[in-house]
Amino acid sequence: MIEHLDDARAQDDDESFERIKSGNDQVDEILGGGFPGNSINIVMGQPGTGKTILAEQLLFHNATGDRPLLYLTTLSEPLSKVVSYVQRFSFFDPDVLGTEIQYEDLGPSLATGGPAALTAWLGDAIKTRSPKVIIIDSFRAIHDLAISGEDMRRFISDLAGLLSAYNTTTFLLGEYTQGDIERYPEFAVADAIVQLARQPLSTRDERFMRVLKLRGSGYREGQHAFRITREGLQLYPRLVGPREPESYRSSSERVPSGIPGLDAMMGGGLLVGSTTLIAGMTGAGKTTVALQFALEGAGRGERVLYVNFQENPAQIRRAIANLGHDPDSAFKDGFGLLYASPVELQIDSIVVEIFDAIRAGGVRRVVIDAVGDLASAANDPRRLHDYLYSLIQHFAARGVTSVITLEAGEGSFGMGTLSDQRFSYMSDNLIALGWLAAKPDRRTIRVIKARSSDHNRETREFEIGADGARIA
Amino acid sequence: MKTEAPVAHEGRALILVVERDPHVRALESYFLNEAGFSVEFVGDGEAALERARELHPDIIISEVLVPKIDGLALCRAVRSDAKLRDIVVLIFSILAVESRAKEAGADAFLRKPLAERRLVDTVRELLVLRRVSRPSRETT
Repeated sequence: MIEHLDDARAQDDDESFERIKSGNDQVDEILGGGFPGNSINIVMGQPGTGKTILAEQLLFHNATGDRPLLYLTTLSEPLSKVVSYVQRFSFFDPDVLGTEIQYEDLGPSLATGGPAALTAWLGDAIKTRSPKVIIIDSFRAIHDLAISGEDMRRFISDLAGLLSAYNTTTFLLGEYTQGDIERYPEFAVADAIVQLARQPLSTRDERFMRVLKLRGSGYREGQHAFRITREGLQLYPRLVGPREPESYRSSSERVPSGIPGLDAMMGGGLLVGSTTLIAGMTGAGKTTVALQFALEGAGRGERVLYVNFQENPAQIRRAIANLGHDPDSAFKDGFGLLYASPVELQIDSIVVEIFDAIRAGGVRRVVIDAVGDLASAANDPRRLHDYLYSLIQHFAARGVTSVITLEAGEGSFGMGTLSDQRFSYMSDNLIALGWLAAKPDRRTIRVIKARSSDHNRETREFEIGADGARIA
Repeated sequence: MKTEAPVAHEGRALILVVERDPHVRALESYFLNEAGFSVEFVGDGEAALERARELHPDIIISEVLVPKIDGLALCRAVRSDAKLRDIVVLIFSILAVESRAKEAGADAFLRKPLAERRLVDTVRELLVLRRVSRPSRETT
């Protein structure tokens, strides 16, 4: 046995994990590292969902000069439109057009020669061009050629045989619907199926990507939101919980809340890595309590992330000053602000930003003010619930202590609205703010739940003065 | 399976390919001919042994999954036959059977799909090594 065999073996081990990168790190992440190499992939979705952009981004990313990449249009997508549209994106590079990336319009050949013309053309192209990647847009349109189902199956089998015999990766783009998956034979031969979809949400649309099939590899299930920007697809992978165990629960370390008197009510402060939900009606003092918690951390030199959807940065600075702190010093100390306007709020992007911030390391405290704003931006409450749950698990695993505020209706402390929205059970601690029924000018605070803590269950009065909130 | 006529040319090394897949055959035929080799195809292991005895090719390239005698058994049969054992055997398969190919006495293994440069380079390398290590039979 010559030495070459061992080389080949090593090469083969690598090959079994070969991936074609999409040119978008987040897309590759949900695919477990990219599209499988030497494979047939389907990218499906209605017109305008972003299929062509995904494909073009992948092509330009893989134009590395070794072998050409082919973009073949068929019967629905005019070649001139495809080529002119791609110039709007930042990944477009005119230097590789016509050489590394070769566009061909196969519409006339298909119209006269039928589907077999595509197989014949590809057979020749493989021999003469050695393509690394082949995009066929739209493959579904080939079904519009009037041939029998049996002939179509034979064509697909032959085409798949050719494409599988050669070291190339193929993408079949098409305006497929869910029902097409069972109807059309190309889905049976596909190694990966990625679906792009668009759903209306109030005055704008939300776009989602979903992996329906990926042979031989794990992938991240579910809907992943994305936007189309000048850079191509901007994708926000659906947040899932951490794999590592929640180590903080065995920790008895506590951090001060920043509210004089509250730590004593909660058994000596907030457990590191715990999540505290602060609920109350408008004006009850939720933002004040949350801001004090954040400023306490910043004052101790901890990095803090304050996520806010209602007060803009100028208003937050004013609120910090009203609590007797110097905003400049607070920001210098480690007070980080993540502001997103509720009008433009997309929960996927904000959740990913929060996650990226804590994943980058160093953040010890997080405030989300208020979770209700996220809820109103979500078209699917279960998705928000799953995201929050995952975020909280990540906070716990990384020892990040968090405070989340929730606008709650009258009489709903710990029950009713809170339970309905299923936020309360996620949190370790639950604090309700309100007013004395007999004296509505007197604020109250009650610790409803404090996990792993011997807490004070009394309703206490608390006041907000020039130096902030304190238990009376 | 029908045996195709050999594409014999003066001065060309002869490759016997054992392959059933028509697409792989078409691509192997094209790229190996382009690279200057003569290529003979058979569709099963039994026919491969028969043709090997008739033609005594320089190299046998075989898939493992072929009828009658599989590619690995074919390799063992070639190695145990005094008249054939100097023929270089390259296992070219869809299966990841590197170690089994080695045990069967193969000189090299490549995994499908076909990458023409890798295939042609491997064949050329094997022919050079064959001239050095098995000078008993001169490669044409």
